Parts: sequence; structure tokens; C-alpha cells
Amino acid sequence: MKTYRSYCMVCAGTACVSNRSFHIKEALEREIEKQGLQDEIAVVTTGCNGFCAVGPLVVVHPEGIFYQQLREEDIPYVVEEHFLKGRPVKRLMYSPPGEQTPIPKMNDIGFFKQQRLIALRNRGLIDPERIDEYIARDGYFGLAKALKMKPREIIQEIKDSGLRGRGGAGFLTGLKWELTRKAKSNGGKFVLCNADEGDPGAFMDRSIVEADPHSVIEGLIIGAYAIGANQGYIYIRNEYPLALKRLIIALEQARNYGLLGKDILGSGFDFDIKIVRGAGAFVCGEETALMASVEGRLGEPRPRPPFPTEHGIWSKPTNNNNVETWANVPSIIRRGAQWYSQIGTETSKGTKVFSLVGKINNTGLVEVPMGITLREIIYDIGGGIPHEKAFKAVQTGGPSGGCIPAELLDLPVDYESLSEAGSMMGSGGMVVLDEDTCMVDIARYFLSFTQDESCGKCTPCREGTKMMLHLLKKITEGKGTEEDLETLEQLAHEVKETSLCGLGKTAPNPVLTTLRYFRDEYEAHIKEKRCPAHVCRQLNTYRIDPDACTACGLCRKECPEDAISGGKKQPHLIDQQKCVKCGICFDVCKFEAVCID
Amino acid sequence: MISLKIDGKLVKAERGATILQAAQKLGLEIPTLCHHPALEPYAACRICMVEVIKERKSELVTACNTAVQQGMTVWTKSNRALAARKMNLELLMARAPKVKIIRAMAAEYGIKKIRFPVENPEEDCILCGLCVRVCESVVGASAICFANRGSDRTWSKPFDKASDTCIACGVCTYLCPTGAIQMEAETAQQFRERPGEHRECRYSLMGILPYALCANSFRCAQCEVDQRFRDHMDTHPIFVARNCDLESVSAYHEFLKRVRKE
Ligand SMILES: Cc1cc2nc3c(=O)[nH]c(=O)nc-3n(C[C@H](O)[C@H](O)[C@H](O)COP(=O)(O)O)c2cc1C
Ligand code: SF4
Ligand code: SF4
Ligand code: SF4
Ligand code: FES
Ligand code: FES
Repeated sequence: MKTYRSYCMVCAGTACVSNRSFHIKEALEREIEKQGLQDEIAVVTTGCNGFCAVGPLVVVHPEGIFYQQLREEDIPYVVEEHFLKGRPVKRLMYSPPGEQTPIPKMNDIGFFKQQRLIALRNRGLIDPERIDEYIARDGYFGLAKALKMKPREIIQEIKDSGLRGRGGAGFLTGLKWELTRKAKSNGGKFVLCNADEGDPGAFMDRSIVEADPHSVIEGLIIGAYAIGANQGYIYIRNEYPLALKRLIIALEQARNYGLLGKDILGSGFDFDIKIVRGAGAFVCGEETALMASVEGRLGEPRPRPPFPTEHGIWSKPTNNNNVETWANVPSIIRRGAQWYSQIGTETSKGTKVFSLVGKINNTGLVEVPMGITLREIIYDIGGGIPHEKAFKAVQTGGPSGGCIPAELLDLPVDYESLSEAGSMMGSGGMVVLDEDTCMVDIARYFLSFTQDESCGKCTPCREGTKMMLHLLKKITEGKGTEEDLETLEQLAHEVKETSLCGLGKTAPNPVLTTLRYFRDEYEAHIKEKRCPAHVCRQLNTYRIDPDACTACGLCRKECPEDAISGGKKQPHLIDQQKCVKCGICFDVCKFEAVCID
Repeated sequence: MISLKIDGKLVKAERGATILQAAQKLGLEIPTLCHHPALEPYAACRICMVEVIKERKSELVTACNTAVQQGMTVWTKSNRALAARKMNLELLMARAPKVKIIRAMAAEYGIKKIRFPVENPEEDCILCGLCVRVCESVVGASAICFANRGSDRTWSKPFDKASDTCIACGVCTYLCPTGAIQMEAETAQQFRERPGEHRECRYSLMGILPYALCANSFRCAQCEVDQRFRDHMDTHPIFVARNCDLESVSAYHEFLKRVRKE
């Protein structure tokens, strides 16, 4: 391959693309050509770098200069200054919130410094649409090594590494492989990659497929060989067009290189992968529903056992793993179980990818070693809470995870600690909540998602989540009673205990954890008819501060109930009898004269 | 054979048998709503919850689909199991408050007050799925299905049109614990509008009789043929026609008959 003096890695992840990163790329190519630098500077498009909040971004290697929030207009200047005159452009570099000095290099930025990349090891470094770049970064070396090993040895290696499933329950991957290998079949076995990723706000799996599709494919081939499967499926949601496109390209390239198909790398092993597109129902991420959907049946969970390892797609033994689980496999085989199991904690090995969203400065995607504390993730990597607000809680594990309070910020992040705290690892969503969040309202919000996504098959999930939502609404509207609180707690407990699939079993988590850590907020809503965070409007009393009111009359004009009186130069007044607590006055007042009691 | 203990009593069961089957052997009653011995377990009503103690850990499971294990200890009436059943019954009461079988069970479990709002007092389907499943896996007609997701789920006909695969066997109505489905009558009405040679008797459609035309305008209840089958079978003829395991099927119908009477 031809070498260049510098490589401009233009982020072409979904977020940066929607921030016009392809225009940035074209502008770069245009300017580089204009300056006659096309033989010295290469422009490469990569997958998501994780720091989507500051996109579109470009990283210049080998130095690792990190440019962020670029506009097309900036490009001629960057090319002239940086590439022609050798002076990186400070003004386009990243400075942490509230600080003036920019940080030139990517790896010095807090967001990247503490990350440890395994599943995402190629992010930002290769063009995901070129298999040669993957191979140049030791891609498919794991496969070549695996094909020389005995299937039993591969499974032992995965077992020894301690790798656990990244899709939710954290089942030991090596053990699952072994069960599928040992299962009897009268006609084939399957491997399956779950890329359904239905959690709102989660995008780790999308990002892995977009940035490094071959890592998933290589993992699947190794797994199939170890398990004895000749057919694989990747179930991916149709709303991920970029990931889908890159996957199709990657599969085609792998076939052309003899990495898929008959007699892979001369080993005598045959294997190929089909893509199945999911229509985007959350419950189809549950593996038994997913497999029904692969077969073209209604995406509805069924009782387990029998487990898919014995009775999967078309009733054949099927090994299903999450995208991130598969993406870890090539590195484990290449570098050994010993290396992998040194990372992480006693029971949770390796790294985990999290999506950090909500009230946090650095939203984005991070991969960190297991055992890191929530505090390190939220403050060191995430840059803390914006606008100097106080941290209140973090919801981990997606809409059916739990809310973990500030007292537990030093909790090490691993499967056991999170579930002891009432939450879960889930697929790795983290929603940070600040002091302005009402915990009753947030429980209602998450539950409204899971209630809507319930497939409706079993009684507790179908009827129970509906009634939990009803009780939460009642409480946020100030109509809740102490008996309702007791009913809610009891119901949440039974829905968790008796539901058929993971959706119902986990849907009560936001309610149960907020009841456990923020019970005082529920009580304030019920006993004092007060929402401490002033979020539940029905519980607010709006009042105009006569000293701040300039008598502009805006609130009077906007009030739909004509509840506000006042004339020229006269402080305005709200008639509490007429007020319906819509909060419009509060939102429109330019002088912060409307306050909430 | 596997030995286990249910409610303190030792019982032996075949490998692969369910807790429900083992309990029935002992004459212990575990209430069920979505289970039928001729069908694959569906495990959806969550009424048959029992407590299982394994390796000193206790766990709630559904008896209708959980296989027995050597040395397992099962409690069918522990507080935890009863509380779970009670909550699910209360939820079903809020869904279908006038349904007899639900009312009877709720009374048995001492449910006096329904703490949840009733959306539709006329609702009679509890979504046990018996009708849809029996039609698909025993009759082979797939004339009914479920539509919509979550709390909007209902039983329905494919594409919401009159079914053209229904053979009016009536087993869906026969199994429905609540009387919510009346496909038999609906299809009989359609059959009446058919031309001569298509007016085939449902018993020949079921494969019990050779090709025979209906001479009674599909008023099966007043028909000699129908009467004869009813006299000779203590279960629905389709189960006989499809060679279902009759012993266990009749046990279920005994149970259902009793609950319905109560
Ligand atoms: C409601 C529900 C949604 C799920 N969604 C996903 C998903 O989007 N992606 C995923 O990998 N696993 C999902 N799971 C977990 C899968 O059922 C399964 O456990 C997982 O794919 C196994 O892979 P792993 O062992 O590699 O984690 C979901 C589970 C439930 C109950
Ligand atoms: S809260 Fe709404 S109804 Fe009340 S005074 Fe303000 S604008 Fe009017
Ligand atoms: S009567 Fe019709 S719908 Fe009902 S089970 Fe028979 S064939 Fe199916
Ligand atoms: S109609 Fe009857 S058998 Fe069918 S799902 Fe409803 S309650 Fe069950
Ligand atoms: S898409 Fe560019 S950083 Fe995520
Ligand atoms: S009878 Fe077991 S869940 Fe319905």
C-alpha cells in the first residue's frame, strides 16, 4: 500500500454524517488537491469515534490531532495552516467546558484518555468499507489461528477469557458455545448475531457494525467453526441503513477473499452468513422472539427452556450472541485468554461499551474496562454535568434498567454490582439525570416505553405494566394515595417475578429503584402534593414575583384561561382558582418573574 | 424416572414431564388458564406459578411448562406462589370482570377488591391463546390469529376478513375458557350460503367421516350425526380425529367442567 505523510480520518458515523461530514470530506479533498498535496495527505472515512457531541470531526494521524465541530468554511484554512505550513489550528481543537486551553491530541482529551478499546479497537482508524485496512490491523489473524486449533480448544480459550454476553443477561459466552456444540442435531446448527438494538438512546452495536463490521463477521466465523455451524444469521434493524450497507459490503468482500463460503482458508470448513432485517420492535431483541422473526413468524417470546442452544432457529441448536460479544472474539483468540482475563474484575472480564447520554457534558460512546467506577465514567470521561447542576442519578441498562443514586457513584461497574444496586448492565445504556429531574416522572417515562413495547402475550407484562403506568400517572398528577403507592410496589414486584420474558421481568426496575432510593419524592407527591423538582406541572403553584414583574403583559396575553390580571405598570397576579397549571406563563416570561412554589 | 417432592409428598415422574403433570399424578390441583394437554405449553397466563427450591435458592416458575428435575422441591401453595397468582388474577379481573371462570378463581383466592381501573366491562377474552393455538396446531386451519401488540392485543381473523379456512369444527369455542369466541356459528352461517357440492359436513371436513354433504343446513346442535359423536366421545371429536393423547385431554376437560360449574 502507498504511504502518506498524513492521514485525515474523517468520521463517517451516523451522527457525523448527519452533521455533513461527507461535505467536509469533499472539501478536504478539493483543498488538498488545490494545494498540490494529494500525494502527501490521504483522506479516509471511518466509523464513529464515539464523541458524537462535538462532531463532525476529523483526526489527523500520525500525530493524532483532533479537530471538532468543523464547518466546510474551515477547511481551506486547515489545509493551508496544518498541511502546508505545519501549524495545527488551535481554534478548531477541543477545549473542555469552562476551559480556554485547547487540547491538541485525541488521546490527551479526558473523554478518550481512560478508554480501553477492544471491541472498538479499529474505530476511527480504518475505513470500514475496505477489508484490506481491517487485515492490516491484524484482522482475520484470529480466524487463521482458530482454524488451526481444535474446536474444543477454541471453546476453552473463550471460557478461560471469562467473556460474558454483552446483550443483557451476561451469560458466559464460552459455556453457551459449549452447550451448542454438545447439543444433538438432526441437520445442522446455527450461529446468530443479535444486532436488533432496540433500547432508545443506545447505539453501541450500530457503532461497532458501522466502524468495524469485519470484527463481527470474524467473530461469527470463529464461533461457527468452534460450535460446528455452517450457517450464520445477523439480525439487524432496518433503521440502521449505514450499518446495513457496510455489513453487506463487508460480507461481499469476505466472500471474495475466501473467508466465507466453501473451504474457508483451505480448512475444509464451510460457512456463510445471511442478513435478516428486523422491523424494529423492541421485543424482537429478545432471543426467542428474534428467532421466531428470523423464521418469518410473529416476533413473540416463548418460554425457555428449551433454550436456543438446543432448540433455536428451525428447532435446531442455535448460538445467539450480541454484536459486541462477537466483536470481542477475534482479539481474544489472537491475543489469548490470559491477556483478556487480566482486564476487568473477578467476575466481569474485559471491557464494556456504554452510550453516555442525558445531562452530561460529553455525550457519546465509550469503551471502558469493567470495574471502572460510575464516577470515573461520568466525571472523568463524561466531563460531569452541564451548567453546574448537581448529579442526581444515572439510569443504567436501558429503559428497563434502574436508577442509581449519587451515594453509589463509586460503585464499580460490573454485572453483579449493578444488579445488586437494583439495576443491570443491560446492553450498556447510561442516561445521566441531574437535579432538575423528577424521579417519579422519570419512572413513568421509562415505563411508558416498555408498556408500549410489551408484546401482550403474558398477563403480568400486558396488564401489569399498564396498571403501573396508570398508578404513576395518578401520582404525578397529584391524585395518588398512600394505598396507590403500596399497590404500585406490590405490582412492580409481581410483574418482575412472574413475567414470561426479560421485557416484563425488567420493566419494573425503574419503579423499584426509584422507590428504593427516592421514596421521599413519591411521598412528597402523595402526602404534600408537591413535586420537589417542579417537573410535574399539576403539582406546581405558579406565582408572579411583584418585584421582578415588569408588567409587560405577555403572560396575561398567553394564558389560555385568562387567569392573569394586571394593567400597565402594575405587577400581574395569577388567580389560583382559574389556573390550570399549564405552565405557559412560566415559559414565556422574559424576566423570570413567574416562579413555582 | 425422576423423583421429586411436591408439597412435601414424594412423586416419581418421567423425564421431560412438567411439574403440572407430576402434581396431577398426586391429585394436587394447580390452577391453569392457558394450558391444554394437547397443545405445546404457552406459559402466558402466569396463573400456574409455583415455588421451586433448587440448590437452596427459591424461584417462581410456571408449572405448565417447567420440566421436573431430580431432587427438586416444589411448593404449590407457598405464600410467594399464592401472592403471584393473586396479583395476576386481580389483573385479569380488571381486564375481564364479568368472565365467570375468572370471577370464580378470584373468589377462591380471596380477592375482594379490584384496585385497578376497568377499561372495558364487557371484555370477555383473556388472551389465553387456546383458540388460536388449537386451530393452528390441532385443526391445521390457522383460521384465527392475534392482532396488535401489548395491551391492544386481540384475537382476530387473518386480515380481519371472514375466514376461508375455518371448517366450523368448533373446537375453539369448546376450549375457550370464557365463551369469547364463536367462530363455529359464524362459519356455519357462511357455509349455508355455499353452492351444493361445497356444503360439506364439518365431520367430513375434520376427516372423521368420508365426504358427506350437510342435510341439516348446518344446524349441528339439532343434528343426529353430531349427537352421535357427542354421545360417544367425552372430548371434542377433533382431538380424536387428530390422534391426540386422549387420557390427558379428558383430565383437562374434567377440570374445566368442574370450574365452569362452580
Ligand atoms: C425485551 C428484550 C430486548 C432485548 N434486546 C436485545 C438487543 O437489542 N440486543 C441484544 O443483543 N440482546 C437483546 N436482548 C437479550 C437477548 O435476549 C439475548 O440474551 C442476547 O442477545 C444474548 O447474547 P449475549 O449472550 O451475547 O449477551 C433483549 C432481551 C429482552 C428481554
Ligand atoms: S399556569 Fe397557565 S393557566 Fe396558570 S396562570 Fe400560567 S398560563 Fe395561566
Ligand atoms: S371452528 Fe374454525 S376457527 Fe375454530 S378451531 Fe375450528 S377451524 Fe379453527
Ligand atoms: S377467545 Fe377465548 S380461547 Fe381465544 S384467547 Fe380469548 S379467552 Fe382464550
Ligand atoms: S459519528 Fe462521528 S463521533 Fe460518533
Ligand atoms: S397455565 Fe401455565 S402460564 Fe397459563
